[in-house]
Amino acid sequence: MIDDVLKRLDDGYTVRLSEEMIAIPSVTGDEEALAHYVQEKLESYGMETELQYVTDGRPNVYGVMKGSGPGRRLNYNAHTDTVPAGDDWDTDPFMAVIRDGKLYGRGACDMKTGIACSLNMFKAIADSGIEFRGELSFSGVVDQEATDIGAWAMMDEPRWRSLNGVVLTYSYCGDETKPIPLGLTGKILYNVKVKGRAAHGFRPHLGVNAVEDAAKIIANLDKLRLKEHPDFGTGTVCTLKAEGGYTKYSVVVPESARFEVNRLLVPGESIQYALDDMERLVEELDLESTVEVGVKPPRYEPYTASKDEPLMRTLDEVYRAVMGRPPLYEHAYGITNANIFQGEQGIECVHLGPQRGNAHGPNEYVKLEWLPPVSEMYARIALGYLT
Amino acid sequence: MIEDVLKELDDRYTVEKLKEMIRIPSVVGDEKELAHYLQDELDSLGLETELHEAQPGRPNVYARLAGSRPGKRMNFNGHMDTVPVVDGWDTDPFEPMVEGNRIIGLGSNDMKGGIACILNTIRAVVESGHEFPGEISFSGVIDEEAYGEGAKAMLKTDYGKVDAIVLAEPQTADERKPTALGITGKILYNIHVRGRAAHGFHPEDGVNAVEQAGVILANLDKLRIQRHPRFRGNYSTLKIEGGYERYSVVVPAYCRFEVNRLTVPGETKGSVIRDMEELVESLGLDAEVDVEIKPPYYASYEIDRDEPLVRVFEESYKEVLGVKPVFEYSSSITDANTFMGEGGIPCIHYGPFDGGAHQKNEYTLLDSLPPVSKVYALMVDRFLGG
Repeated sequence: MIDDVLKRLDDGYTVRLSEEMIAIPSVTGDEEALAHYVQEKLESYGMETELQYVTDGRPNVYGVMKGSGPGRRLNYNAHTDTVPAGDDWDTDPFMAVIRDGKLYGRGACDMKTGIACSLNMFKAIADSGIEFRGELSFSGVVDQEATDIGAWAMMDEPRWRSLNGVVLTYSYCGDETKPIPLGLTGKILYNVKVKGRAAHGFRPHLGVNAVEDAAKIIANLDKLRLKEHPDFGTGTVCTLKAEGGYTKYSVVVPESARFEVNRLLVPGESIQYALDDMERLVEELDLESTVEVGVKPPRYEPYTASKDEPLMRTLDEVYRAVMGRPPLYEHAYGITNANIFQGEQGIECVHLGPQRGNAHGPNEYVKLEWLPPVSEMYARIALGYLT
Repeated sequence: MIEDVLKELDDRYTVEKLKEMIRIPSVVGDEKELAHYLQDELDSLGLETELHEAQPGRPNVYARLAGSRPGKRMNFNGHMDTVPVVDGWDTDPFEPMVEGNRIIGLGSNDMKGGIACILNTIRAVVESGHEFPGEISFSGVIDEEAYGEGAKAMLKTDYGKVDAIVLAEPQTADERKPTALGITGKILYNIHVRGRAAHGFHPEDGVNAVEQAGVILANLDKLRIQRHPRFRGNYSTLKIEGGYERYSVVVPAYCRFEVNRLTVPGETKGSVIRDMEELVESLGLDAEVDVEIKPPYYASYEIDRDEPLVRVFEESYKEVLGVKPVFEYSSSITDANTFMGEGGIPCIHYGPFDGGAHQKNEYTLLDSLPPVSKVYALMVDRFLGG
């Protein structure tokens, strides 16, 4: 009975795990200690666990709980890395502090309490011995704050590629701060290399100035053809970096320049479309330089979700029941590992977690009041989806 | 008598001094040892010498020979620094190597050869007991191959008040290397573009400094460039940098770029800054743009064909070489941009053959040295008077 599970949910346990995890720094690149910690917890619930080393010292951590018969396979996914602590904290970022109903620390909302809420659920389900069908599993992946090598490595494994659904325990809490995504934009990072011809800087007509040609492209980015999507609208374009010219001062026409442009893609715009679009723009400018349009990781396909799919329906029902109101939804300008799971692999994804506070900034926090309903919704979604 | 001076010229002395100077490395920044060498040599010739720290540990060397009565002051100038050793030398760049008519070594023409020719002329004036009014002087300056700090420092001394300067640059004033009657100036714009950061997924919330810089760069062809009958100004962007250091999806709040501009007589530091500011203003950008300039700055200059120094050079050259010198209007910056462009001192360039200055196996031609000392001697006589 689900009530037996719900009564075993222990919010004190969630808080304690959150505090312990904040005390284990896991800045991107340094996820191993936290992976071991999570693995021990999962093992203690009787789950089958595994570390998948994505690169040296950087494991994804998995745990699996088998149901009593064939059925859907649902995974609760989190990333184990955080952004660096940064400056200007009022407290030690790696020592959880509770003050005025808020728990402070690096990773508090992004996303160690999300992990803690799902562990609370796994423990309660395991302890209750409740029956469900299919498979319930956990994945904690590395490198989400960088280039997502963890999520990509997870999708290299046939057992994870064949999941039916993933709940991403990110801080999408379904209110106006972070509505539940009904799909996410994709994204491409153009890496544009411009090759001109060097000449003495006093005789620019003898050379081809790569920096000036690069600037002509940048100044014409508004001529990229952004497709209009009925729900998302259009994507966005943002130059992130430009570099070219001498390292040690010399009066030379620069023969090379490079710039990077971030572009959000809406469904209907594939990565290939975006590449072709930039190449067309460059061609129309008829520059003297040779221009190579490339992409750099990370890149993500956009996707749209449907409220009629089983996991999304389950989430909607559970949210109404627990929160007493329907969740807010939006077609979000954002990127998560769902771009990889659903955008690339077609696995149905939903996002749900405790509301965020100062994510990526100093004094990151989570409001404690969000932890009990999130744990409860996780449990109800798991059992609803797998029964 | 000038004939006595010409008789005293000793071209073996020139070659010997040139060899000694090639053996003293003086790559830009490291001119000190050569400055001491020149001071010793000029001391021994009986000149009044002086070391002057143009930059810490980097002295200019000055020397003067006073005439028997008041008159004009004429300075012979050479920069002591050389460019660094480039790859590919077949010989030791600091060991002079004579091959037929060639003498190979770093600085052989740019411009230790010219300095050796000056020494020969000064020595001959001293040895001959030649009487002249006014003053003959020598200046050896640092840093010409970088920021021209030596010439700038000299301009602030008493040597910045001379009536004419002969630069012993390797300009043979013939078809191989016409000599400059004027040189464009140069200014380096350093342009700061300040926008506003925002998350890169929502560029409309920020002002993208890199993109705004791109708009300026894409419109540089609208920069006002003055027309001039003898010079052509131009511009060339040298560098851009803006955006994240460590990857993050953020609208860049700052971007900087540098544009080199050659200026023509009539354009000033102030006018070229205004040109850029007006261009920026016409673009109606959202970012804040600061137009600054960075060193090195060089003023343009043009010398009148009728200027006494030019006439004196023309006559002396024709007397020694039998043909008229060939002139040009140049865009290769020298210390004359400082001496004449900023200091208003009439300048002429003349020196030995340019065998690949700034390149591997730099050399000059041995037979290009004697006429240089001879022309210098005649110029002294004609410019200062007997």
